[in-house]
Amino acid sequence: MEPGATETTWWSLRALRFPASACLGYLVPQFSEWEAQQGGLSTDGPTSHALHYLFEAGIERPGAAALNLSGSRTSRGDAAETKDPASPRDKASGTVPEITASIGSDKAETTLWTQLEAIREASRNRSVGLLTSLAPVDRSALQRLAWRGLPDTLRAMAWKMLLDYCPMQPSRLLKSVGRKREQYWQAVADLGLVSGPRLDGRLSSEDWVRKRQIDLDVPRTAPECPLFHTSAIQDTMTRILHLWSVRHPASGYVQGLNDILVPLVYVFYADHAPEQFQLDRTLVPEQAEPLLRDAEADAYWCLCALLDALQDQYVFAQPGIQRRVQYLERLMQRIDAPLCAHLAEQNVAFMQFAFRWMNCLLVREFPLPVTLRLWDAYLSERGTFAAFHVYVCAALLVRFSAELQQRQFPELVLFLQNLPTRDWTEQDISLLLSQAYLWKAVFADARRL
Amino acid sequence: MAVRPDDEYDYLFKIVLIGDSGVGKSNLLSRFTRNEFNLESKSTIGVEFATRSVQTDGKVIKAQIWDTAGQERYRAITSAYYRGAVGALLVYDISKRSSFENAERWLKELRDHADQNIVIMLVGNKSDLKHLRSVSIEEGQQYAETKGLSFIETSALDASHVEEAFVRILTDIYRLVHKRSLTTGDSAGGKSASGIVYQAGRGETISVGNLSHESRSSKRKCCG
Repeated sequence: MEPGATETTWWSLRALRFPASACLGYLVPQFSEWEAQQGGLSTDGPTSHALHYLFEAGIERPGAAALNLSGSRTSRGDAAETKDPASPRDKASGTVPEITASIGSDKAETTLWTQLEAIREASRNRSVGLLTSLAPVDRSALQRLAWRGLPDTLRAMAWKMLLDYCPMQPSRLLKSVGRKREQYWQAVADLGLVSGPRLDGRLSSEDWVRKRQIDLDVPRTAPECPLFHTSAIQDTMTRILHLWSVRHPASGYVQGLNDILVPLVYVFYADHAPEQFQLDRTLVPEQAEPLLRDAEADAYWCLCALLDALQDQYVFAQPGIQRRVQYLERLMQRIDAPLCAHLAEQNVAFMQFAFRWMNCLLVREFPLPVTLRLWDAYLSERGTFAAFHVYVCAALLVRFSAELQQRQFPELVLFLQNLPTRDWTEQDISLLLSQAYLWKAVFADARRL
Repeated sequence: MAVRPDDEYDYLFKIVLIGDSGVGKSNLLSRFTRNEFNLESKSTIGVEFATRSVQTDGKVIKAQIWDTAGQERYRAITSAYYRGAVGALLVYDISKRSSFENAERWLKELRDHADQNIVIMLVGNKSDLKHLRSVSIEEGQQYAETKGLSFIETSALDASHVEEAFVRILTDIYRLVHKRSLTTGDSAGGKSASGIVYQAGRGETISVGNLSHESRSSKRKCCG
């Protein structure tokens, strides 16, 4: 570490509006204990070492630590190390925790990019020979890359791999994906959905209710993107949502699933025909449509994979959402008590604004390109992203804490319903993710939340 | 934050917008509160809120309006917002017969979750879609009469009768409350036999049940 890095880190954290001493000092018992041993709170003392430790894990090299915390495949038991309050002590006493060793270098990143590019090209050309010759993708490296934000050209391939739709082993890719695509179109045909979104006459009343709701919602999905007004995209969305809801009868179609489908459809379509799939395009040329059969099937299977962890959000009474909103509230009590007190004083319930954040995974709150960046990180946390999402929501509240505390009901609710995030950039999301990561690192094991 | 002129009000009424998905609840609300209409407005997820003050019978009435998602799945969440509401606009689409037929179910929702004295107005929206009409004015009117609801047809798109709908329900509530307070001759802060709670003076608070939100509003008013 260079001299002065600790101070830089400290001020960077302050710039992120991270109430570090409050958080690390007394909210987390293990840090308090550790700090007591190290000589108490100060901005350049042991706290900043702890902060730096978290900072290094969470911001400078967030991917590695994110991976470790999520309990995914780790080579040396780093997960335990990150959660272990002894780790900062090691750091303070000069022992470099093993975690730093697992951080991918820029070189490794470049190699992975090249590898993904090659796989993408070979799979487009359906070149079995070439695919067989390519090495399997290292999942941990891919997760690290995704956490930092994926390049547009590799996003589709990376998302499909992170969602376990495409195998990491290139030689198996064409066969595996080919089978899935066939299955999708067969299912669509069986449902009578094949010639566009019009269903044939075999509908039960339940089918009609579902059809009516999907037909109502698809045209009003992503209205700010002309591309989503094209009949090609709308037919695709309709088929996918129908099939998903038929196959998930416990929830069926729930409003907001259309929003969640948007990033997937966009990313996979744009991958197949980038020229035709600019967000401001108002027409999808007919010749592009055959290309999209594969993209549509991919989007369906990836939607299934994504929603696997979120089923409880969409069943009767939506217990998953209720639970996550409650968790967000408890978390905020620890992170930003003054804001919570203000919301309570103004009688604004978390459910009033956070319901949509959970239901639509924040898709409604950000412009689409920014959402894609957010989802890169979510998908890198595949197994635990639903929990991580709550920390992102917390970071979002903290980000606007000052503005919120200046407002009273009803302006307060109106502000929360329309956060000034329309002009956000990927950089804003990166900062938000970093802060969310810090909260997660600090609170993930706090049993009393 | 400084008190703005629109914070000056005599009465504060909580209103809910209910009805099937896609009948135009959100557009009715945006037309009334911001004079905006959006043909491609997104579906409402959970509930959304807006507010506007109107003047009636020489009093300023501030309406806090909760717009609810129409889909069945959200019922468990949205019905929580019925509590404390003194008025409900039950909206259907005059070009979608099923949305009119479902009015019965929505009334049941209100009976189950809202306060019994809630004032309900049946609103036939999208009156601009004349060529697609599948529910006649007479039919709507007749149904409203049998259920003891007031009735109006509106078009959020061409703005016809939107203002009138909201002003009428707010006036109805005001008169009802006013009449009750006169009848009972109760003092400020009293509770009438009907369950309507009222407080005399500017910043008056009206609710037919849960007072929490409303009393807060009046407190804010006092504190400025």
